Amino acid sequence: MTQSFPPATIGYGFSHAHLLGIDPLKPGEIAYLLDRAAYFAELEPGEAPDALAGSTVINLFFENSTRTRSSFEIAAQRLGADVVNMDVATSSVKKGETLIDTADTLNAMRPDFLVVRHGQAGAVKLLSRKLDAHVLNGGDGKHEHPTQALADALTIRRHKGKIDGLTVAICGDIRHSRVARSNLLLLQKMGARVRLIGPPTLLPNSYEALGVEVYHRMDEGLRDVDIVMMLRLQVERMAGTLIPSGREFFRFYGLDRDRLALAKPDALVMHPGPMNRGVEIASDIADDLDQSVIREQVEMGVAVRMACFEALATRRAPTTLRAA
Amino acid sequence: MSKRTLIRNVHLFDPANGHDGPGGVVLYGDRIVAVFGGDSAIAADADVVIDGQGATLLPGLIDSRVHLSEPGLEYRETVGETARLAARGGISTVIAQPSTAPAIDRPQAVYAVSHRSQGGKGARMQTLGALTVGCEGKELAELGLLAEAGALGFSNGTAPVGPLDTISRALNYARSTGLTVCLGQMDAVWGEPGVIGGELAARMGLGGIPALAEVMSIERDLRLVEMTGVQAHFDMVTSAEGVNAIRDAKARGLPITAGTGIAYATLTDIAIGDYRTHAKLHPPLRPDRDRLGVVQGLADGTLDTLVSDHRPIDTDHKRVPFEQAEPGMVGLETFFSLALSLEDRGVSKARLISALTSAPARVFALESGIRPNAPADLTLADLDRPRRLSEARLHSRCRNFNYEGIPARGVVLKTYVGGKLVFERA
Repeated sequence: MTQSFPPATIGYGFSHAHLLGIDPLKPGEIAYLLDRAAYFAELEPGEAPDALAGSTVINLFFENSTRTRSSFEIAAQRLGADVVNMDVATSSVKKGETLIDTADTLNAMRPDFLVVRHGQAGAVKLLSRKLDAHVLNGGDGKHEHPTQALADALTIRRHKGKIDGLTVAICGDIRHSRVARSNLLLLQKMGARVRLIGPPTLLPNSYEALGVEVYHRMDEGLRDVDIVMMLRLQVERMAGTLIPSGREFFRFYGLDRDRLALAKPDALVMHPGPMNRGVEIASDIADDLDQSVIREQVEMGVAVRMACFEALATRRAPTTLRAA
Repeated sequence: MSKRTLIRNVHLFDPANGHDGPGGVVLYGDRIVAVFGGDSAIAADADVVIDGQGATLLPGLIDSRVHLSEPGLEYRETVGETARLAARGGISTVIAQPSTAPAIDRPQAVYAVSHRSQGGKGARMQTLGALTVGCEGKELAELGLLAEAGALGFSNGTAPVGPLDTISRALNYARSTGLTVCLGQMDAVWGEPGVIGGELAARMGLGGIPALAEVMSIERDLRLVEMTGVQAHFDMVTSAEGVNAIRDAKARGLPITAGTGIAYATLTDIAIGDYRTHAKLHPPLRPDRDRLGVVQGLADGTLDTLVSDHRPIDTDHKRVPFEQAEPGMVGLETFFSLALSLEDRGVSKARLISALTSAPARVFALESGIRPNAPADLTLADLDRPRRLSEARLHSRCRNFNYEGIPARGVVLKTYVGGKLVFERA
């Protein structure tokens, strides 16, 4: 399957010390990561190369997470790394330690990789400046969540054979979504057309400056799209009153059969999870194995995280990677 | 017994008093007693003669928006240090904001500012009083007593004055003191913690503060000024639309004054780059079209005053995630050079010097200018000497600086306050 995607010729490979976001990556680097991930996805769990043997990975999650943290943990273990989960909720951070002091402390333990999730945009970048380890962004505030975007891209590529030329609608709570931000950056870099759909309070018009099409009505935005990407309504981030209620949101922005019929007949339905059934997506669509690839996104999550670990571990120069 | 000091062989530059040419001044005690053109023989009369070697003599600069760290945050900067840094920057009078901790909302606090600055050689330390208790926008501060104690005007610091009823009463009452009230602070209701509105906020995943937050505050406050007749100064206009609102109001004949901070005329939100917390300011840095609007406002006189908005912040409160970082930048030492750099962007030298001298003096009713019987507050500077701005050359303890490596010109040689030499470049 991998072979059907000819490697992009420019900048194919990966040469960053950290994976902080999609923004710094070139199309060739994204293609490289996706190719490697596609390879890992075909392997049985025991067959993976032990590219991380002898390495230590610290999962440092300042925000709660089950799926992302487990996914990073499994990916690192399949490549032979030792994984330590730092439970920040009970650590010195709660006792008032600053982020910089935490970085110094962790540095002294000499980990090889640090996977960080933090509630504030830019915090992962700040940590990466102070650490000798490779830092992977597991989500920073409302900024980026690069590995989720890579998992989504791989899922799309497995089904559509390409990303270039597709029309993708990202729907719902755009404003609070780091997943949406990373996805729109990645999809645009790889040649897809991106539409954003959501109520004006959750989708400010300023997003038009990012080169996307902004829609405030599902019926207009979903027409003839190849991919429908739903987002979780992040009720916990809505300090103010951004939408009146869950049921009103579902009435106008939820994905049901009638709305999905507006998209192309073979459109894929995606959701980064966790889902609020009946708020942004109808249960029967979420469970429809013909159209929904939600479970596959999770599976691909492990594969792309393996690819990211491997790419950082080897940090191969772009020119030596053609044969990969 | 006071000595007569002659400063000769200088280029007098004071647009408000019509000076732009070679000349000199004679100081006696804390006053200027004579001003002359050319190089006359008054020299014979003086006890001390200072040869300016052709440098430019300006009225002492007035920086009308400086944030003190004392009381409360002395580890960042004491009042004495602020006064000395100001003198280094050619500033002879500092007008401090009242939003210290605790706020300058009672007469003792006004006395304390001048008391704390004594013992240090430096700029005159003046202060505004808080418009409301604790700058919280709830109860009126003792405006009359603050005025008696020497507050030059009123301000609510960086906070808007609160609900309409509070602000309208505060302005109505403040009118009785005859002092100027600083208005137009952007409305915090719009201000999610973060940087800016528009594209950068969307791209960086930070909360946005649209320029409209400022424009609406300005427009609301303009109506209140019209209603109450208070003397108002919109001291921090930072957006193109805000400048337009002020320009329209002045054209309508409203007797207001306005100003801006040097950052908003020299920097854009590009400076934030990859979450650079030093470029986190309040109000936030904006796109280039706003900077151009601000520069245009200075050039055409819509904006009367220019301030450093000096606010020292230590590393521990800057080296944190962007949203947690305290806003502000240091500015006293580089203020003058940065202001002069605007001459290359279409603001005349006369306008610039007025914005640093006669305009703030008029707004806050201070005596200033190169004329007989004015206080001997003077700045001697070489306006053309090039310098490279650098954090390494700052004397400030806090290093929240945004102009590393920027080439500029204008070097302060001497600063006089009340006839006393408070700074001299070695």
